[in-house]
Amino acid sequence: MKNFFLNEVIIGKEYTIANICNGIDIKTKTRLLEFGFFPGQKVCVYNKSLKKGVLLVEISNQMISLRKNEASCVVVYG
Amino acid sequence: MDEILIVGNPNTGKSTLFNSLTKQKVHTGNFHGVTVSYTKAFSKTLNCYVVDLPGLYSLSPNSYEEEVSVDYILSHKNSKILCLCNNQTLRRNLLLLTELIELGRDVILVINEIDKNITLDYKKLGEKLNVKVTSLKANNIKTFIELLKIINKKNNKINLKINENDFYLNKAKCGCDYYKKLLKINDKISEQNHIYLEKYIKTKYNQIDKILKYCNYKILKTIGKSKIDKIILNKYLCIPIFIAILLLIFYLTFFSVGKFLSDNLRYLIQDIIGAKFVNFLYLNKVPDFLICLVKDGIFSGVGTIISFLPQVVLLFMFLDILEQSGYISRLAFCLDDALKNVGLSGRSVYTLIMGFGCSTTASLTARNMSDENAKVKTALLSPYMSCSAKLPVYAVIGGAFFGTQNVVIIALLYILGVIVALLMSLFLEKTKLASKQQTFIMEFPSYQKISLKHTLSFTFQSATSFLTRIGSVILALSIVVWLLQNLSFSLTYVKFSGQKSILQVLGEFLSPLFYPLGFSSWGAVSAFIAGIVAKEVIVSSIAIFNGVTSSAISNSIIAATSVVHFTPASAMSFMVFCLLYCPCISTLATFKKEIGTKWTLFSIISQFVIAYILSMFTFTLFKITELFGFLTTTICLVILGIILYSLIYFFKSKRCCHCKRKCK
Repeated sequence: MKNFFLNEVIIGKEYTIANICNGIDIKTKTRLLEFGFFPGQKVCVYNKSLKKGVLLVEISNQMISLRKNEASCVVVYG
Repeated sequence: MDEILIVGNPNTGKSTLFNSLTKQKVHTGNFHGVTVSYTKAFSKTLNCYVVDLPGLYSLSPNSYEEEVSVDYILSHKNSKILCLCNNQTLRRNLLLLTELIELGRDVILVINEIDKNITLDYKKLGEKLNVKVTSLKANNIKTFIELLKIINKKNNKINLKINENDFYLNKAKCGCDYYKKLLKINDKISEQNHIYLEKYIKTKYNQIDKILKYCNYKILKTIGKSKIDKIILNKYLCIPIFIAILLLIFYLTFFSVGKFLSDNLRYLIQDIIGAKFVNFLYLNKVPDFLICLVKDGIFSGVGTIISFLPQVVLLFMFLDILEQSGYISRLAFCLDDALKNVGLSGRSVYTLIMGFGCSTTASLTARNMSDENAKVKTALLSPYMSCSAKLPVYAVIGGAFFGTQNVVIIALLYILGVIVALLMSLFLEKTKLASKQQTFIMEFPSYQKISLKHTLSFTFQSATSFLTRIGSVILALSIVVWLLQNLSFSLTYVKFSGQKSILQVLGEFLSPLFYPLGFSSWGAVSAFIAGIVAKEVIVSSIAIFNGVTSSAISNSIIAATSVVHFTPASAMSFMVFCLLYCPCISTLATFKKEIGTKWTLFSIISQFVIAYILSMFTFTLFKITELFGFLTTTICLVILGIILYSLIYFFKSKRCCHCKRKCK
């Protein structure tokens, strides 16, 4: 199955997290993991801001907003 | 004495629970990061002290306010912990709980049932985690407290406890700077940390998932995107909706409702109560000096400000409604794109919006920023947001010159404050406050129904705090200002001695500095000096200097014979200067504590310089408009804009060419 970065996915479609890249700082990675962003979790992008710099994501029954930078470290498939 | 710590993820209702247990009135809101420091109070119902801590997702702190919580939890080893979780995001909430259990703390799990579409077997959950569990529904706070009393008496048997140092070491291996500092480990973050961290959290979540499965935790209806969000978060509509909301708030606060209430209150205080009281003093043959102090110093000075109570209260009420509804998080999402360009993040929105209420509280909320630079930068920007204390200045001075058009002038002043804040942020990006790495990961709270009780309680609190401020600082300052205006350096009453008053001498000494800004009268300068203590004093001082009541203040500042008088140009320049010139004393004190003396001094100097330049520009612009008309001024401005843009473009392209040549 083809892998995508979270910032490139289709809005409204459900994906599964494949991996979290190590390219981000550990503080940000900790926060992402605490919110449940780890392999095997289902994730869905609901909205993007005007300049597509911020994403609104649903994961584990919670809505999280995160920037393109952070989203580009989350690899998904589906 | 026993102590209970209320711990939990952000926005789970910790402060609301704390208020119910202790009958305190700690500020609450539907945004994560409202509580930024701990509050301790005695609870009669539980017969012990209760501590409200800022929210945190795990024991790995990511911001200053989270560090406050972790510090408190780790340093109060014998305190009981009341871990508040909400059932909607229980899985994530339990991550923190398992860490607390692992540390061997005596924990009581409280589940806030905010979502009715969730099933869970509490008994099984308690058995599996080996903690006492109780649920909390919005309406059953009394039953909950009774239950808590029983639970609180029993101690939990902890069987998951690990060595505290092992826990710290685990966290340090996960790359957490906080524990590295605690254990004095200086190694750099390596690839190993990432793998360790992922394993650590994944193992925890696997354990939690097994527990939740055993407890029949089922989400019958997922949170999804609400219908309102489809409109509010629409990329083309979000900004116009925000502007419309702001304009509506301004209109209701400054004009329709606010103005009506304010005018009536002013009439009641000064024309009815004030006049009768002064009359009573005359009849009882009280000395002239005292009558003058009561009439000009107290009723003119303090009375003028009290009449703005309805407007200030309305502004705080609207801010509370925005905060309670969950709209501010949506706003943070919408504005992050724009704020990123000036080195801020959507998280700063909360601080900036709170700045419209009070700069002191706003600067404190900057604690929830993820890094120190962002915290300092956001705090420094909060005074540029026009706070409620400046509201009387715009209403009195703007109202005298611009009449019904004052709504536009006030809106422009608020916009100017925001623009200057954004430009300042851009400037700070070039200094050592440049954001290291911009991150913005934020949880979206669900929309909440506006609680009338909460809004009324908050509004009452802000009214009380406004009146207390008037009764203490502003009353004292008004009397001091009146004394300084009526006493000479030889301490004689100026009306009899004919000498210049202390304030007049000081004001006249400084007034040449303000000549280019159009208001060089000693009264206007002295009002600004007094305004450093509290901005409300600017208007009360003008009323005292002109010796008029607040109903006559508008006419007095137009009359050229008054001590403080303005022309439309100087009035506008005065308002711009007031908007920007210096944070008040309490904000400066908060700054010193939060961001240090150096940045506090920077704030004073930079704001004064910016206020001076912009006031001078405003005055010149108005003068040109008066002389040459609106059309000519606009054409001149456009030409000036084009010249400036061309110059910037020219220098930029020159630098690029130079760079290219060098690179080649």
